[in-house]
Amino acid sequence: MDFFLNTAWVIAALPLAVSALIAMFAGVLRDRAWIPGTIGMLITFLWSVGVLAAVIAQPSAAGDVMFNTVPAWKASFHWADFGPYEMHMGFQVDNLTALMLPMITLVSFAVQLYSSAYMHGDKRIPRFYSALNLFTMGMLVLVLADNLFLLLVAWEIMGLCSYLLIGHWYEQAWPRYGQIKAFLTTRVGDIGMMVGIFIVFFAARDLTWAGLAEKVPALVQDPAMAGLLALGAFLIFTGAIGKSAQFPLHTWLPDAMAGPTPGSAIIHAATMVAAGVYLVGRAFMIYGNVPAWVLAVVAFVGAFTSLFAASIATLRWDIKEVLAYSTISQLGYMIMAIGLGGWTSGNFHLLTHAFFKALLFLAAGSVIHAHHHNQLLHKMGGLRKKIPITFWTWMVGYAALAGVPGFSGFFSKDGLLADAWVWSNPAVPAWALKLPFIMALTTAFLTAYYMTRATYLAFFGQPRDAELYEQAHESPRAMTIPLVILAVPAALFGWLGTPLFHHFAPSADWMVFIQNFLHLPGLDHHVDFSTEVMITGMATAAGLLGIFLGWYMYAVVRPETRASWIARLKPVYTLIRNKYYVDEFYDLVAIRTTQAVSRAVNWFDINVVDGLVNLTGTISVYASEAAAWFDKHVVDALVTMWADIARGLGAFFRRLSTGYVQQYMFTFLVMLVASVVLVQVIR
Amino acid sequence: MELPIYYPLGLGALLFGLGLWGALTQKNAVRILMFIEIMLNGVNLNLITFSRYYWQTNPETAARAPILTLFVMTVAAAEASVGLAIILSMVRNRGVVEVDKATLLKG
Amino acid sequence: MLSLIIFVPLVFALVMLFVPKTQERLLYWLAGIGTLIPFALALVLAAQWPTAEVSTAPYAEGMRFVTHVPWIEAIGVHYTLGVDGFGFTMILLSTLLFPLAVLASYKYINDRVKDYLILLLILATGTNGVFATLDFMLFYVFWEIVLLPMYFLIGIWGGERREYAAIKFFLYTLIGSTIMLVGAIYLYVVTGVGTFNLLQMAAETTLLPITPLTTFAFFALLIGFAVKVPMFPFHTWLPDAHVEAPTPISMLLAGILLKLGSYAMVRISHPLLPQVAEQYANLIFVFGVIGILYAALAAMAQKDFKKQVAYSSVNHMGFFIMALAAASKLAPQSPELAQVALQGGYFVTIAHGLISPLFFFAVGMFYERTHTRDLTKLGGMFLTVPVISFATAFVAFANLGLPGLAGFIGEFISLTGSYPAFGLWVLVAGLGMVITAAWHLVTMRNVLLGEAKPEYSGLADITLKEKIIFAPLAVLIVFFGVYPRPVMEVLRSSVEVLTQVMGLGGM
Repeated sequence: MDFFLNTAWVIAALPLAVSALIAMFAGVLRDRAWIPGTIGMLITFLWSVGVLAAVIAQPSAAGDVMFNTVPAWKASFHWADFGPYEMHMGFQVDNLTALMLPMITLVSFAVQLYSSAYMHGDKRIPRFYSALNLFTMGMLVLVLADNLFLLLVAWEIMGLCSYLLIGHWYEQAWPRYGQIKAFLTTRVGDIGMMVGIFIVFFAARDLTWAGLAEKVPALVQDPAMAGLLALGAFLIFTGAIGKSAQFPLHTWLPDAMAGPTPGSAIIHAATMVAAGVYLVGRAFMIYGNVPAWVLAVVAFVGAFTSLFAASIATLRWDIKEVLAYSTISQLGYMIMAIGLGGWTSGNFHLLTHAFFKALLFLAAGSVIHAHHHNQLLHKMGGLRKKIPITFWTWMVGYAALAGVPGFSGFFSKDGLLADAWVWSNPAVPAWALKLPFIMALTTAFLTAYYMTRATYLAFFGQPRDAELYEQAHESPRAMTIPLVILAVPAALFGWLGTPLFHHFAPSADWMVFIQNFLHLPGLDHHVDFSTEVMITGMATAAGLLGIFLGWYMYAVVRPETRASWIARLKPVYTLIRNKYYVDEFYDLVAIRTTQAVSRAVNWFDINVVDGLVNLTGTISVYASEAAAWFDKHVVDALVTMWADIARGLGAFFRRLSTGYVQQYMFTFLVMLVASVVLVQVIR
Repeated sequence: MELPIYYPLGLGALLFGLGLWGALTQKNAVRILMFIEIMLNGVNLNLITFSRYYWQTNPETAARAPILTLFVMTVAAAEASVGLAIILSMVRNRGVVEVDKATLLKG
Repeated sequence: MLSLIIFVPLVFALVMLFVPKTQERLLYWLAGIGTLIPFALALVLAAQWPTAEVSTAPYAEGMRFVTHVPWIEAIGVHYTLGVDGFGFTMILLSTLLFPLAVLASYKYINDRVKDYLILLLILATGTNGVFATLDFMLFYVFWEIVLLPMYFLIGIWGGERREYAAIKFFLYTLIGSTIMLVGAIYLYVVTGVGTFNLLQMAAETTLLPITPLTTFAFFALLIGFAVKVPMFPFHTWLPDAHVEAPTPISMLLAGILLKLGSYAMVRISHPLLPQVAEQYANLIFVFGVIGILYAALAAMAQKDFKKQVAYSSVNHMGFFIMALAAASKLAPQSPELAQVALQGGYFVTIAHGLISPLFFFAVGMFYERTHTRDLTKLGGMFLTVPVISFATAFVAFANLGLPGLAGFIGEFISLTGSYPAFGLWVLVAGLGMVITAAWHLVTMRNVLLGEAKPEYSGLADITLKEKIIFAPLAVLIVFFGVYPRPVMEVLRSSVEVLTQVMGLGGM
């Protein structure tokens, strides 16, 4: 068991190796790229399970999970120096990491197996698999990282892979647009995150989780330092806003759907977008200690986003877009939960959501595959008979997301609502303390509604496009098997979080592990039984109400009636239909403004900065011409005057030079005699 | 008995005057060269005469004269050869040996 | 050894004078060997570096591989060579880039090959000399030696507006260096130290009070170097020079010539007058940050691929300026953080010295094939020349600061060090990073992605020569991005010494 723990680095190294291998032998592998990818990921998954088992068996499983001061395993090396500060780079495995690893690898495995059929016939299969494995490596490194810097590196590598996968079909315009949008929007958040990291480094001179857990509680004793760290924590959270597609940086996620559906399933549903949640949870030693306003901001951003995105999802017609907004909304749930101090329920929802949302995406991909790449709900209908396996697995995911009792989403959502109910935060006025709960409950209702709507439109009723319907066919086994694999945890994983399990196996190691994970000592909100029942009742009621309304609206009400209702609610409908105009706002404010400014700067550079240079040049040219005139007519005149004098003298004396040698000689003689005489006379 | 100093000096002056007359009057370049040699020899004779004359009284100064004479002879030889070469090329190029036909130095 | 590194190219240049100009292959061989020998020597020195004796003489304290010979005794000029971390990393970079530039010229420069290669070798002598010398006069001589070959290399082998670009380059840098000379001579005179040795001068000049004249001297030096760096607003020669220069010259220009300025700042202007540097740190920071943001925006608006890359040089060197300002501001109070900033800033220059030549080379690869650099005309290259496009994408991501590659490490550490000095103003630099990322992505979309253009079908993909040039730089970019410690080890003591000096100045 410890063997797996001590070699946990293999989990990150193997996908990297596979990715490099596929990239290197792309020409040989071609359509067969799925073979090394799937096999490698299966081994990685088994390894992760081994690590999880080893962590469960460790006594440190009983340790402080939230602040991870005592990881089950860690290894690091002296990586670099920031000036005099030694930076160590390494991996650590603690309870949270150990639970994340199998989730990531299982989803990745399912996605890669699924893609072998889904991507069949594509031109760039090795590129797809290489990026997918590199991405998985990035996510694994992110959860294994023992410091903030490595987390940032993995974070950006995932961003790169997301960019590559969204732009997989880069011949078309939408993927090219979507990939840039995704990279840049998250980059905006990353810059804030980087500055946050600078602040943390400045305050603590350390970036490792262990070091921060040790130093931050002491540092916050100083109010000024606490304020600074709060700012740092907030800025780090902006990174999470970008990556987890929270309002106001959520707009990239729907456009990320331009990529292949399996890629969306792992990146934009299960793992990468959840990295923001993981980050806030992992850095809780900062968030939990700094002034409370930061967590209040986190909670409200999450709560607002969940409601906001859920409302948009109710009117989307593209099946993937519905799921994308649903993902944003669910991520908002998790962010909210962590902001409320519900570390456990947030991370628990992360895990359950990863399974059922990946399942839903893959099932949606299967529907699209069956429907000849039609993604639009209003052309579907009645598909349940044509594609039964897809239908039933979709229904599992649907039930989990809509919060049908007994499925995983129900339990995790329940825990999260309980946290919202008992929330207390000194930075928030009393009247606002219940707001997250109300928002979350409304979201639960809306979630059930839009999922019912999508499910009904896709699988029930009459076929709306007869031709497409006739040609629809169940997907090959390579696609349905991953659906079944994911359906199991999507249905059952939530049961781990119930007291029932505790009842069955009270003393087993793994139960202790789960206990520690899900019922943190000191953080477990004490909710008495009647309140618990009430919350569960409200949540269930909201879910069932949503399901009923969805069914009623689309199965009972006739389309004409629906149209008249829409006409009555025209302004609201238009607003939501256009996604609250956030995209248009950014287009105007961010993109056009930047372009205009950049053109202005270029103009400035050419005409003013360079203009000054050229002006200096021109002036010097004119000055030099003036100087040349002066030189020619004044300075030079003085010189030529002497030359003229010399020339005149020369013209006179040249007459003496006759060319007759003997005359010269005679002159010489005369001069000699004369000088001798002269000397004698003077003497 | 001592030879009176006037004789050799007079001979030297005669030689020099003869050379000067020839150098200024003759047209043929070769002749001019020869007269110049005669002038130089007149000078040499003067030098040797004075050397001999002062040998007893001021030997150090007197010893310089023969050296100077040797110099003059060397220069004269060199000058003669250069002069002859110039004359040769003049003859070859212009076909004249008369110096008043060669007035290239006219300004 | 350092003398050999400096003068071997010159010797080869002399030998090549006697080779007939029709023997182009022989000339290329000679030039290649003449630049590879210094590289080999530099590698030998790198191997000796950890154990090499560190000089304690006053004229070369803390330097290694020192040579000290009197040259012009009357005014105290010595032929003093010696390197610390700052100089040595640059020598390694420069000796690495010159053979690559010679190789890149092969079959690319077809006109007057002999003159071209001789000028290239003289340039190598000049740059290596600048990085190794410790005497101001010697420094100045080498500094000017660099200028002339560059002028001819741009002016003769350049593009259409080569004369304009060459003269602009020449005037800019000549004016800069003249001003610099004035500043240095003033310091020489005012201290009365009687030597032009930089370390001995620094011992005196750091004690000078801040007067208008010392301020003038500092800015005279700084502007002289800022032109080379180039620092906003002295940058406008750079885009023109780059656009007109042939590809190998662009590589050298971006990779080494700009580093002359940054090196000179850490060797001369800041150690000599740290008190003034500290006084005006905020001003210098403002120019650095404006350079980052401004160049990013200006790059975005360009239609010419090469001009974009040229502006990105201004952008990256802005990080160095910013970090240097931060270091001089922090040094008196918290020398540790100043060391972070300085090291980060210098790492930026090293990383930029690896990345930007490669980027220019990538642009050159497209230009050689399509004969255009117009961004609106290129397109769909991933489908036409996949390997070149992959290489270009790699460099573009390195240039925009993707973690795991060398560019990011420098930017991250320099910002880490700058934050304590300037607080949230570093967000402006962060904004510059976003815009840089934006135009890189847009350019990649325009050039690499999209449908293949019919007019470019049938272009040859990467050749062996291009692979040989590409590989070493790419490997180094990845290596230093993943494991930057070797560079940091070399820089460490130099950074410490410089922060100490700067700290003293501020007290």
